Amino acid sequence: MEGILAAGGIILALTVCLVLALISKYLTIPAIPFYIIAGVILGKAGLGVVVSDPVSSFFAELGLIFLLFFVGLGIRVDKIVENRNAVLTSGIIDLNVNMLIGFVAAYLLGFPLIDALVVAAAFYISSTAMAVTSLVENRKLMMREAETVIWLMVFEDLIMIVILALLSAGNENLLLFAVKIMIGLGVLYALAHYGKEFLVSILDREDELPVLFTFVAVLATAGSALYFGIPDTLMVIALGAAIATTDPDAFEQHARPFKDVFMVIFFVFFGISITFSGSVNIGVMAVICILAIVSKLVSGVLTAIALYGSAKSGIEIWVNTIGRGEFSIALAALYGSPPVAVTIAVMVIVTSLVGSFAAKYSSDLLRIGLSGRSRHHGPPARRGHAGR
Amino acid sequence: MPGARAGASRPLNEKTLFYCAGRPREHSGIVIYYRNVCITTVMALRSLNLPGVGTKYEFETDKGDTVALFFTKIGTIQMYTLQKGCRTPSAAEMTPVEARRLGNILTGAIIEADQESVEIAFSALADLRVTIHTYIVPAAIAGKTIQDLQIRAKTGTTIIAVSRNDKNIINPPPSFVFAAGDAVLVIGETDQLRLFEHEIMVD
Repeated sequence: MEGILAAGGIILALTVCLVLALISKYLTIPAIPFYIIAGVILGKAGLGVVVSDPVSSFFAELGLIFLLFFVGLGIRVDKIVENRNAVLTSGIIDLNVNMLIGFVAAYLLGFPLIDALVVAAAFYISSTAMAVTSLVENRKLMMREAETVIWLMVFEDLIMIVILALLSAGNENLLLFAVKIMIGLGVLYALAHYGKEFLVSILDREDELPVLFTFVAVLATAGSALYFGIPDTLMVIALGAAIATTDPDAFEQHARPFKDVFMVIFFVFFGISITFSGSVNIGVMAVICILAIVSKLVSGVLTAIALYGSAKSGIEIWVNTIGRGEFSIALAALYGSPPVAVTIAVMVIVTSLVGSFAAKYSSDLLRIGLSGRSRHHGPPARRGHAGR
Repeated sequence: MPGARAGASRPLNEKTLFYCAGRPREHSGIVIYYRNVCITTVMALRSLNLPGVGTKYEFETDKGDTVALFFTKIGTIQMYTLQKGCRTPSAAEMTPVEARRLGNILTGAIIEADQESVEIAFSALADLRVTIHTYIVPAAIAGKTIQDLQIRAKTGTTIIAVSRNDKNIINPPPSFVFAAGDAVLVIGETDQLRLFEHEIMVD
């Protein structure tokens, strides 16, 4: 039983996270920034009581893999094709505006080219989990902007796959790399297609097999991907997308406990690994954070004008997409140098908290903004009708 | 619509009339069977699957108000209502149990507040109808067992569950002893249940 003692750091970190999660749920703000802050306090940058070891790295990797598996399960190609107009307009505006601002800012602030690309990608990708939670908890689902936000998140998930592929290609022979990935995808889709009945029959069982099967499928995919020299992250998303054609809800249900626990370990140990020594200065981080908030406002307003001809709707899109979260951290953990990791961590913490408060008070925000402007421009009632 | 279903339909009762009161018009083709009577809905109901969120149902009433329902992935149900001409909807979040309650009220399944009854019709089984009814056990039969009361012999009904102090006993044995205030769930035909109500519950 000494193994448990050896994992004392993980237990301590998770206990702290549990307490913080309770507080964050009580205050209805996202828990992810709290996990990272907990890690920073416990780890290298803070008290130094918890250090990462092979066991914790394994668990943290599991967290990342299951997170990406969930992203894959959410990708339903048929649904995206059905709604391609809704997905494309907002998605392309969002991608161009935020990638560009993020990349130019990071490059001008002195990050090397590749680092600037990682920062830009993390800067671009809003947190799907935070956006959905914010829409549900603030009772905004009925608004037309909610649908736009949801499809925007789907588009961002797709771009995430492209980014992962590009960043992991690195110095490899691109052609060989692409062929390997295509073969991997082909195998997964063939398995999902021809093994559909078998998969469904396993998932329908009442015993331990569905959970065991889900766990093994995800790990075996990641393992064999690494063995053949293709990025496991990509293959795990592909696995999710492939079996989303069978019974995605069942897989979600069986994979959820793993994701919930291991992802917290991933976030907290990401925080633990952060070092502040000799890294980016505070000014740079502040600029990135402010730009991260402003650039989503720009893309939100542009999207709203393109879709509804109303800049005001852009505020609703904006408040729900400010929060960067799990994907930004994943990119930082996978490809970020220490200064990049710190910058992204700070950006995630700031934007997720700002986003959560902005979403909560967006209607007040709009009202104040509207009455403030209407004093100069005319009666609010007329503006209201013009906005519809 | 299969012919057998149409043939088995009963004359419209009050509840059904309520549903048919609206003026039928072009709609998206949703058909609801209520007591085997085909009721075409009068509103255009839109349903939409929102990735990561859940399923959305929305319809506009004849008077221009909008009602939207979201079955979220986390299991809650959000209902939004938007009055015609208003810009901000009001919302209520419900647990599945609460939502079912609301549904029962809207479809008229609840007869009385503390006594509920559900009639189920199986059209594939020669229009088999069974009713499940809840009763509160009166003090008069407290301390007696199911066997003592000869419930099945006298009425033909069966007690399928008893709820006592928020605990449920499914399929109580014949030796089960009633206590005053127990809520019992009885299954049978409508006539048998009437017999049960008169013979047993007042004994």
